[in-house]
Amino acid sequence: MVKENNIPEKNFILTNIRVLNPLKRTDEVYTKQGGIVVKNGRIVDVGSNLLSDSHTEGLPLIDGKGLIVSPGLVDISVFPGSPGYAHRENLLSTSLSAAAGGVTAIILEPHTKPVNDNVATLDFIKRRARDESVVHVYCKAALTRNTDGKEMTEMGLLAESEAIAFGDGPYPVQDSQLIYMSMQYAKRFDALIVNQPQDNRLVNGGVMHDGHMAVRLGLPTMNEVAETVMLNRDIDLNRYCKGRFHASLLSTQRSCNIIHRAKNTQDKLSASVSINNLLLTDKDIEAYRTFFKHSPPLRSEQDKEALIEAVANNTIDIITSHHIPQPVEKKRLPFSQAAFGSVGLETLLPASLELYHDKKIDLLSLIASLTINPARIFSIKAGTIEKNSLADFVLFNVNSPYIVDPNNFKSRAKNSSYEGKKFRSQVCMTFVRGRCVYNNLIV
Amino acid sequence: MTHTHINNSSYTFKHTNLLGIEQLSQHDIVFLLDQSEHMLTAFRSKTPLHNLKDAVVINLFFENSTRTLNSFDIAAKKLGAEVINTAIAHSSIKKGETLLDTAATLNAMRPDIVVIRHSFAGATALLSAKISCPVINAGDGAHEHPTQALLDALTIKLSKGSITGLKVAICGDILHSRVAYSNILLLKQMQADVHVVAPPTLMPHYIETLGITAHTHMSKGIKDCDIIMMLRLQTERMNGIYVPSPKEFYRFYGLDVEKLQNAKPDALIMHPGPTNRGVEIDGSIIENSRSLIERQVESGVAVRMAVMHNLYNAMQKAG
Repeated sequence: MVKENNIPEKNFILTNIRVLNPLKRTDEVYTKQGGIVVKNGRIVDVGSNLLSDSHTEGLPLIDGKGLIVSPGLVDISVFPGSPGYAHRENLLSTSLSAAAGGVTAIILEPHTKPVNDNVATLDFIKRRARDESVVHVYCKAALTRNTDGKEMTEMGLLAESEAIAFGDGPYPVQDSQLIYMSMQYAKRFDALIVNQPQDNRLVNGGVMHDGHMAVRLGLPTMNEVAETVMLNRDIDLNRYCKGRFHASLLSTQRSCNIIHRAKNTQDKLSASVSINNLLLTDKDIEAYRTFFKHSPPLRSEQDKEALIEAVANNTIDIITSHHIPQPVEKKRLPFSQAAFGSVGLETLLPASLELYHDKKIDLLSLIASLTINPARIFSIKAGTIEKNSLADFVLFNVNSPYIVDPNNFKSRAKNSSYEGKKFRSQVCMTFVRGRCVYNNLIV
Repeated sequence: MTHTHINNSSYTFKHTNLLGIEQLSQHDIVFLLDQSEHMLTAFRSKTPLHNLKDAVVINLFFENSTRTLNSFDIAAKKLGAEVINTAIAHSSIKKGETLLDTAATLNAMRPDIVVIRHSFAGATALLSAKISCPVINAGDGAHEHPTQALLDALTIKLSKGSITGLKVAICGDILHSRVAYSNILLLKQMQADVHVVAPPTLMPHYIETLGITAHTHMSKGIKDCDIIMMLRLQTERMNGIYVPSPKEFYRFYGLDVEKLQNAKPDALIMHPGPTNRGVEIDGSIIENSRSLIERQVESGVAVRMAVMHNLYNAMQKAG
């Protein structure tokens, strides 16, 4: 857990509001007599008849008319820029960007400079986060030293210093022995291993999905087997090792099938998908638009639909923004040379809610994949709205269309895949420990 | 019948090789430990012995060793034998001779006992088939090191009176350890309660098929133990494949004062040596009065004397 920090605590009552609690799978509307009572940064009561109680006397009211409140989002794949790449993003801009997207807890990727592969760097980042961030910050530590894929990091010492998972971010572990040994070793600490399945030898310089578009554009491809070969490997190793394993950023229909089958026998297996792979396809790349260059790549319509279905039926547990800030000079390049990734924190909730509007995923399941599921899998105390939980939540309006303008982003980077796109929902307010960290409402 | 006494009139030690603890019955072990105690008395009092007078003992070490080689060397000399020490660097193997040809060549020189250490499991057994005199396994790969287990047992017996019923934890690199395997077999044979402690990467996957309990948390593994046997972690296994670093290994698997508190207050500490201070064991524990490490070395000579003497005798009787 993030230690107590200097965010001032607030006391208030949120009334006249629809409350989603994905942990208990409840969706309740409270009148002006009920809602959520926040004191000292914690939820002290949730109910339909609160205003008559003496303990709520004198507390300021926030009227949530027409709004929905859900637990704050937990984003499991955020590249923070700092340390090492502060020109791209720092912890303050990352956290403001998160708050604007309804995200109250972020899990940082380890491939900073220096790499977060030792206790000193981990402590440094956590201290920085305490000083700068307006949202909760958790760290994945590197699984291998310098993310070189050759030697395990000091997983036990890092776990004692509150690294919540181990993975090499965008550098999947290629060496079968090393990932096997890591899975074995991690069991001693009940540590979560995260690996994005991508076989470098099969990717072989590919930059986009293998399909009609790639033929038209003449670009080298990352075909589906580059993902499924490694996914099959990892899942079979995890079957043998019986540890906690998370297959991150899946992108193909066959990956969904593989996870679906494996989950029948592996109860500590989980999977995630980038929001980009749920909303976009390789067709969006069109005329070499590098803001649509992602890893894993945007794939076919069929893959996209299968991934959505996998989230809806809980085969895939988590949706992440896969936030990768890139400066313009890294993107304004020939497609093959441009950097992978896009910023996504700010658009995470509105983008995800498109799936609800399109009636592809029900609201509670969708919210669960953004809140309680990542909290549970990554062992974070978050993802619920109930008595005694931290007052980390987001108010949003599902019927409030807007057009994404990256110039308004809190993020330092503007490389959004949704520039100019119309979303039907907006984040209104975000609270962390009862403190308002984002306010888009005129109150 | 009790475990510690045997009816000498009906028992004879019949083995002419000592390739592993696996071949020994409980009677054999009890007998060898009794014999070792006599040898220890003689060794301590510098009583001259002539059990192997005019016999030739060849120490054939295909793998580097200082303490084991010296221990066998001294044991043979204390029994009055002529000793030839052959280290790998000087052997014909380096000139391209096959292992079995080397064995046949040595056999033709009619030695009386051959002591063999080899880095491959099973190599000693392979060689023994071509050697007509007694062969003692001084360690074959990660398989067995029977004289180490016997010397550990002698040390325990001398300190605790008996082995039966003791709770013993063996901690460290179980996967690569012939010391661990031989000790497990012997302790099980003597009906001790055996526990092993290692990170999952240094634990054989099916270790519990030996009828012991495996732990990945040291504090649980050594809880209420009478004996803690530490194993050596080879430097090349601390580099990020098996274990991330010596520092991390020491934090979670090194025997320090804090972890030691989980064991019984009178628990004794053993280590086959050479020790890595600050990796698998705190230096202060090595020098603690509860440490048996130096006594193990002394027991080693006595056990090897007893083993050589009895194999030689059994061979003479077998003709």
